[in-house]
Amino acid sequence: MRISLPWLVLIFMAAHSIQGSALASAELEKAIQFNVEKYQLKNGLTVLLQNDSSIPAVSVQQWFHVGSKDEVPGRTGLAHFFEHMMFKGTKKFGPDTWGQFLNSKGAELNAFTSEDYTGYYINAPAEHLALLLEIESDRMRNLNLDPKDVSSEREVVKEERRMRTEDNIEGGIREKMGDMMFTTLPYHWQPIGSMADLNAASMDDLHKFYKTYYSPGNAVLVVAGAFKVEDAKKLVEKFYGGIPKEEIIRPKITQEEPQKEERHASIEREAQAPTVMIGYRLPDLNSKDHYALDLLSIILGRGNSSRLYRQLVYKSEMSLGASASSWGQALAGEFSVGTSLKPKGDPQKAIKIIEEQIKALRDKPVTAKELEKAQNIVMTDYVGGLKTIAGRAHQLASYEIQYGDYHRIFNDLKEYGAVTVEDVQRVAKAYLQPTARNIVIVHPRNKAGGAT
Amino acid sequence: MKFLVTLVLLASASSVLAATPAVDFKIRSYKTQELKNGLTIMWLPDDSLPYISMSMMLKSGASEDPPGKEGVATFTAAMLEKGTAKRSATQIADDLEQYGIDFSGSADPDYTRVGITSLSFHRDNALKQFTEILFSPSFTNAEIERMRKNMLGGLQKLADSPESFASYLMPRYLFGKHPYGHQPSGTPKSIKGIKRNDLQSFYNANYSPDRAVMAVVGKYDEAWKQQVVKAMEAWKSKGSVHKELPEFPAWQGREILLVDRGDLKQAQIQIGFKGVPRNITEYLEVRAALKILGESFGSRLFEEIRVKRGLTYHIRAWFDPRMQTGPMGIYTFTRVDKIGETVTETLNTYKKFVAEGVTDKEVEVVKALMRGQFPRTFETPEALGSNLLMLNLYGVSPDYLTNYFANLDAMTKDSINKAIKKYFDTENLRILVYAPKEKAEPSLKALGKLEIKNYKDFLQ
Repeated sequence: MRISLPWLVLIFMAAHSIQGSALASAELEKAIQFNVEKYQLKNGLTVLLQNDSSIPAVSVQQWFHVGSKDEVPGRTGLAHFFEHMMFKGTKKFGPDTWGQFLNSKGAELNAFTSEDYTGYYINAPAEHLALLLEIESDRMRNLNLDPKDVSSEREVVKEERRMRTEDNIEGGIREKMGDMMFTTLPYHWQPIGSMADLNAASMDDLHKFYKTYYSPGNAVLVVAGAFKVEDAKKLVEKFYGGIPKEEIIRPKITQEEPQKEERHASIEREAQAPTVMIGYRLPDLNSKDHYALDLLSIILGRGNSSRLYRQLVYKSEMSLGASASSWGQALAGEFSVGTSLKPKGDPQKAIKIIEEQIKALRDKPVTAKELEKAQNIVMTDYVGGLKTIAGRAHQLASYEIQYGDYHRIFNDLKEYGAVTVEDVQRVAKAYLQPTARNIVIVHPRNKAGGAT
Repeated sequence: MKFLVTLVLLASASSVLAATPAVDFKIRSYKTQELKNGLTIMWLPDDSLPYISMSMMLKSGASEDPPGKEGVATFTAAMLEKGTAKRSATQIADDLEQYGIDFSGSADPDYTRVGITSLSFHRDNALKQFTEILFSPSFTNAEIERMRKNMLGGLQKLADSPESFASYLMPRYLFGKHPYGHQPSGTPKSIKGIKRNDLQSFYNANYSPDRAVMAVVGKYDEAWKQQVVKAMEAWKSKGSVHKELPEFPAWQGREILLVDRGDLKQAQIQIGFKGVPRNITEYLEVRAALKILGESFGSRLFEEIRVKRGLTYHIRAWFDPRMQTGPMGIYTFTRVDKIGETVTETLNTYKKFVAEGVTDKEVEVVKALMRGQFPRTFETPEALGSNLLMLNLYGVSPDYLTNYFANLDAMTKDSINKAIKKYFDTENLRILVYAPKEKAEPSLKALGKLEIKNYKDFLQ
């Protein structure tokens, strides 16, 4: 048999690029190393220090192991509501601390609340490190919690809910999806909570929440930037050492039963076009299957070369966009496929195409080339997150709070590199069966009030 | 992918050019080179991580869209990676993503940005891709029609993202038929009318090395630098001509446009007025004033409208300084039964700010804030590159960056208040509200001349 020239070229290129990628992975792993010192105070506070004097700035990240998963029915949204209250002042540091006062130190700050954790950060000129630690340690214990502030901030949080959920199609879908996918786990609701529960949250709820969860044993403190490690250690001891340890009792968790049948929900609303989201429950973030699932999600639904884009956007021209993503959380993970259809698009056709694509992943291994692409994309993402002091501090806090081990920043690359095409097929079969689907469809409502 | 609930939406736009060096901080050094074909390249090598980025600014944007063909600049930029003389759209997507290389092309009112980022291991490949895509887009009819349908679908769906839709409608309300009077994305009507020839003509006239500046950032050596020079020198100059932009339209008084949509739970509120060109000498003062008025925690609008009154989750004062006078304004949103109070109190806060000016304490705070932000703003060489491209576009000397601290020191309460008096208009305002008519109309009627349209009128 004659081998034509293009074949030769292809074989050569494939061999070359695979080798290139393995080299790149090892080289990248070397290139992204940075020094971190981790230790724990007697009261349980986990501290990570990362020295980097490239610019005269520091980033202080104080994250807590608390999120909407620690809420109970009837009080959803409390973790996030409480996060807002953390900017209202202590006896020592009045409410303008997080306004004019920190501005006058050249600082910028904010916070966020997720299902599993709540994070606070301040980025500032390096000379203010002591002040930042004093402020952060003080509000870990000495918050004022004035009823007047609580009542005005409640309205602010409700505005946030209107913005994120009521007037936002994707937000509405997320809420429906969690509601359907989880029946016993606290991922049943979203971090923003329900309007009724936001109205119901009492002073007593806020006080209890604060005392339990805003304690040193439940926190990770990351300091990155221009400072001397020995100085930072002394400051941390000075400001945090005296905070007492608290016992943390979390609401009882009932694990989900395996999902045996496909579930559906639909949202009828004024909209220009339909949207479809399909979700599958995954194991929690400690499962090693997440490496293969992350790569699978890239192959399926990231970028214009992905399988879903090719089918839904390019070939059938049914959708404006299509994506897949996969993530782990403390109690369970999620795999999600979404597509935003063109006006008058047929959601059932889109659902059929998505299942065909996922079936293909279950039935047949992906190509080595596709797997390598996904690994290359993961590597590129890695570098993006590490370019700034604040970016590295955020990554450290995120890994430490989720996995209890920041080293995974460095070790994960190897794990992604070790995933095989068989692994990808195996996780597709294990988690992405049609009976495990949760499907949410947004139907545009026409003027007469019926679905089109 | 994680969905996080944040305390404050961080304002992203408008302040690209913001910021100066802190006392013990100097912006990193870079070299500028002009090629024979007129292309300016800024070299910003950085060995800290294995990546490269090539970012090019073409000095023509959506304000060059011919009348009736609004959206051509955006359409053209989006078509670049949809096929070249050598490869199809799908081949290009495959070849880029195989190595995690990211290409982007987009248009703003004053400029077009084209860029590529990659791990440094793949920089030769990235350079090859970049030049092929930039120099020889094929604009095939099949891909044009595909893109047109996507752009039209995207424009229609914008109405379902209330904040984006209000921002989309604002330029035409402020600028009318002025070249700044449309969003770079065009309108459904104009996108339907764009022909292949319009794209090709826009490309021919504006994609030219004598109208381009490029920042090359990341991990590379001298040999690769030479490769870049060689590749870019192959680009032939077209000697194009740039249009002069007219002045800001001279409308008077206060007008309100209510864009009716019955199902919204929140009203989007955009208050707009005449802004400034980038080139003004009081640029730093205007930035400082906007920070004091309404940028995040501690600003007057944030304290009054959010903290004290609980009317919103987010409020900000913004501007978009451009080649010619750009827009300036205040953006917020509120529940539909608080529209009157929110607009009134926002205007009151704004008027008081202009009438009384800023205080000594506010000036001291804002200077410290801007000083502190500067090193963080320029922490990455990519951010510096991006700022240098903007300065180059607007004809502002890079001294703006090297003398930033000195200029900041020279800024006083008086100089800020003078700039406020000169540039912040409280009489001639256009207010756009995207909300249900039945809730909004009664309170808005009392606040000025009111015009009401249905949101679907803007989807044609």
